[in-house]
Amino acid sequence: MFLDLAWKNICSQRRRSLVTVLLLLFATAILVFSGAFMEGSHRQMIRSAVEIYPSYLQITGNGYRDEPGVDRLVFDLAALNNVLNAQSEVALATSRYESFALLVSDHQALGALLAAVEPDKEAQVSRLKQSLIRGEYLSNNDQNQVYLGRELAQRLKVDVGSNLAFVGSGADSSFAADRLHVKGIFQTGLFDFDNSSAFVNRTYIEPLMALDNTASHVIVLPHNPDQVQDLARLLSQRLPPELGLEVRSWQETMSGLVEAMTVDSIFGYLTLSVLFLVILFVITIYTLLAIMARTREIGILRAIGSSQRQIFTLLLLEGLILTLAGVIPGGMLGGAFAWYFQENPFSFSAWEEQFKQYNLAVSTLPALFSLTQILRDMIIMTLAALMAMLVPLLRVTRLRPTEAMRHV
Amino acid sequence: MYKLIWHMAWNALGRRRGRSLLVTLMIGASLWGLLFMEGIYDGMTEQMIDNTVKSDSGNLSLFAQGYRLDPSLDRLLPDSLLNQQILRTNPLIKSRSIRFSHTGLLATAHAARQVQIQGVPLEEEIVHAGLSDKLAQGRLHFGSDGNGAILGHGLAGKLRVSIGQKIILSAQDRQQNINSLVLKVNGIIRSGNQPIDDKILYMDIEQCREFLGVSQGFSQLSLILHNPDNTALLQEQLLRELDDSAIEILRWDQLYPALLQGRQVMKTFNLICNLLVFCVAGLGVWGVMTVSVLERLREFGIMIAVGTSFQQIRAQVLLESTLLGLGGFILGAGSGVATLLWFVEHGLNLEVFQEGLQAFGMDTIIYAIIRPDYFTTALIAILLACTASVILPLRRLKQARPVTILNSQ
Amino acid sequence: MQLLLRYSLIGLILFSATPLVAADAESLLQEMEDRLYGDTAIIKLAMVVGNRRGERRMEMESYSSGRDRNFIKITYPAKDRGITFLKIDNGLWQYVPRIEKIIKIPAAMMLQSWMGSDFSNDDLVRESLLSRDYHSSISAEDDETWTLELTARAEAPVVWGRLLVVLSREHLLPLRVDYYDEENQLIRTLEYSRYSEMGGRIYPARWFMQPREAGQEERWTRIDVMEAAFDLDIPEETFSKRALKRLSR
Repeated sequence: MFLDLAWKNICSQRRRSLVTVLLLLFATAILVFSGAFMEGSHRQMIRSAVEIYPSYLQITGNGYRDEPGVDRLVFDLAALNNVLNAQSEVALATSRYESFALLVSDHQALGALLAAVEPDKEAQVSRLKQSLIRGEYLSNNDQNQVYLGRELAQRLKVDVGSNLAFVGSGADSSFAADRLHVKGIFQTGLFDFDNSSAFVNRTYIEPLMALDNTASHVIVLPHNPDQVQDLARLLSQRLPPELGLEVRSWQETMSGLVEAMTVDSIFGYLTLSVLFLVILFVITIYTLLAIMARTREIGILRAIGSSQRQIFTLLLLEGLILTLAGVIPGGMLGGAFAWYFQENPFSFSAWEEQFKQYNLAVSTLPALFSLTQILRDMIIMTLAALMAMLVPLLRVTRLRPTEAMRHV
Repeated sequence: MYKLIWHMAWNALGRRRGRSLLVTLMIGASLWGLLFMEGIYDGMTEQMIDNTVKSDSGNLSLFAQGYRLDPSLDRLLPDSLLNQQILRTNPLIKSRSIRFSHTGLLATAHAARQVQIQGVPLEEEIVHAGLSDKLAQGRLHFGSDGNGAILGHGLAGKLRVSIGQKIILSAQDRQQNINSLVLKVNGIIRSGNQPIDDKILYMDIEQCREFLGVSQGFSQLSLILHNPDNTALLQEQLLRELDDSAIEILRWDQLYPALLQGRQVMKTFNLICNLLVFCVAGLGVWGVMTVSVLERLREFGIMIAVGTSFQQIRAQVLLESTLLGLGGFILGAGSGVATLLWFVEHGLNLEVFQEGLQAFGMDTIIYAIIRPDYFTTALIAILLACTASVILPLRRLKQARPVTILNSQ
Repeated sequence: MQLLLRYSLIGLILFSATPLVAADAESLLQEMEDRLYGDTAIIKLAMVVGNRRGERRMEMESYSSGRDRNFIKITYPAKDRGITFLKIDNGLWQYVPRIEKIIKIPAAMMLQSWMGSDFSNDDLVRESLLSRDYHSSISAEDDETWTLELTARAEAPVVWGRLLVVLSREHLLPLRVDYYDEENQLIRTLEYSRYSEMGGRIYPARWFMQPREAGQEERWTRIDVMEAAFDLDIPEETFSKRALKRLSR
């Protein structure tokens, strides 16, 4: 009975119904899509920043992150690897040995990060291999081959095939030096990184730098990157304390970036809320107009014995139908856009420079299609719309029947 | 005549007070939101640009050709450049400062860091870079012996030095010798420009030249203009007058293209927001005006019957919607200005997000900006929305032929 | 008060009694440095570096003339044999036979550890003249030692705020040097021991450097002087960049 009546009323007030439905559709679509896009692009920015080199989970010696030094290394790499290999959550673990060395070309001597990596595994935990622009990436059998950042190569005035030498020190602080050939040049887009990093194959440098069983970092790739924080906690507990190790997820190693993204989201939602404010106002106004036009009708209903509650329910039902008629297709539309742009990310090649200046190496930004987020946004919109309708509804139900009937 | 229309419009609005109030409130609230957003966002963007312009690029910067790619002590601008008429007396230039830059190593007993040495004439730099506002600790002084230094606060933090402490600066001079010098930390600045805060060491330019074995010259001449809009003009003048291929003359937006891009994105973004918000607000006004016209078909019919022209009725309806818009504008602009003024004065404190904001070269306290064009844009948009919103109702009124309505009822 | 009186009394007595003491702290320092370094010195030494993982031994020959010219050649272990260093005034060069390159150590590397020891490149280059860089005064003394308090001269480019040098009265050579930062926090200690006759003079055969900052307790560097000769003529040639490569073999 109610439903029929409500439907009839909706049809008879076409303007109000149309405006309300369309506005809610539009608002929901925008909310869903903006949320999906912000979340997706932030994840992408963080992801590329994380994946370029720092990676998802780092294990270092205690205190190494604050003050790197040969006193704070991972001293028993084999023992650590044993523990890691026994964890089902760990997809892959690889070691790095980072040190500061002097790189010497025929033209220049520059201080730089010289890192020994396990080339094949490293290719799976970072984007080092993908960032190749000239020559070749390292291989597990390489001898004195070096993989250089583009800007560093430029400063040294070397290119693929050039000769170079490094002078540095080993894990036992002994002196280490050798000649190197430039095997490949990479560019990640992170200026600071490309300007100061060089990589060599670990097995080659192991004897030279007396690495033995040590590493500066062990990088862990979890099976499920979303659960990296849980894994970090788990590993902290499971690693024997005598190894003197520290486990850090990217959320901790890159807290600044995570925070910057939060700020961006806050401002994004703040902006949307201005738009929603005016949309909800309009919905309130139209509800008010619709109800006023029916004051007389409501008076009659009251006169023939409908209770206040019944009328209120009827009006609320109308509102709910309209709201859902807007919110559901709106959510679907927004979701469709989110899906589309998840599969076909926005390309921002024009913005690359700007991102780089903030050390973000991305040129495409995808949206993130997430059902929970879409449902959440739809519920928020529904509640907001019902709130906007409530004010005029309450006003009308307060009218007394005789008063209402006299209303023109 | 006009008085009558005014009177009638006013009465019509008054008759449906709740409705009118709601529309005014809607326009006011959305305008308030927009103004707040624009003021804060623009404040943010301009602060970033301002930080960079003052601490580094100026509106215009002059370098020796090739210096930016290969900053060596051999690529300097000559002191004589400063005597050029155009640089001395150009009325466009508000302030100028020369900088002598080099990389070095700064050490204490505990730690050592790479630094960007910036030899400056302090008095000029204080005015030019607005250092007084950036001072976090100590004072802006190189000491009577010229051995004082001012550090970026990130650098000071990493070296764990405080005011009055001794620091040792080492650098390779022009003859490739490594020289060392004792300096004393006199001041610590927080510029908001992270590379500067993390790396910069200001010292006396004369001392710096002597230290690095250079008798004259400087690496950068930074110019700030009275009116930044004239930057391109001055650049042209300088290119023409100096006519020297050994000098590179670059605008701030050429040195930091991302900042300009950021500003443009922000402008477009604000415009789109304005457009969307007022389109929706227009819908609201439209609904109210349609109903209010349809309700009064009978009334208008009588008016026409007694000889009122349709133009007069149109004027009245238009005036009604304009009054609603203006009311909203006054409400929104008033509360918006009040809110923004508070944030212009006190700033929006975002210290909780310090780490994140600094990564983007932003300050933790964001001071709002108020621009006149916020209000003109909004006013035009509101008036347009209000005018557009009565077109349809009026057309319906015209088609309805009031006389027929009178008869039918 | 009594204590103070007694000390000043002792000071007075000593002051008048020993002619050497009549000389002030400055001259004591000067004398100490002369005895420690000589006009020229040729020293064969072993440097042992220890940390939590064990210790590592290196051997080298050092040729010095005055305080501003120094040539060092590594002789052990085999993998580092032939690495040479030359310090002239404020420059430091290194020759590495394995890469056949002479490298000038840039400013950015100056604070890096020298050959993995607790000495930095900078210590080597700026092996400063204490008597030139510091004001000195006698802060304490007993029958065996003087303790000199050295405070950095305002214009001296040294990172230390204050040094305490404990000087043996008998040999006029140092027993211990404490290095303090500007906040008067002890950063490292250098101890000299095993005094014995070498190159015709009494000389400390063992130098022991111990960092004192938190977290570095397990590190140390020890220098064992094996042979020493003083005030011999060292050919000018030795202190040239050509020698880096030539003398490497």
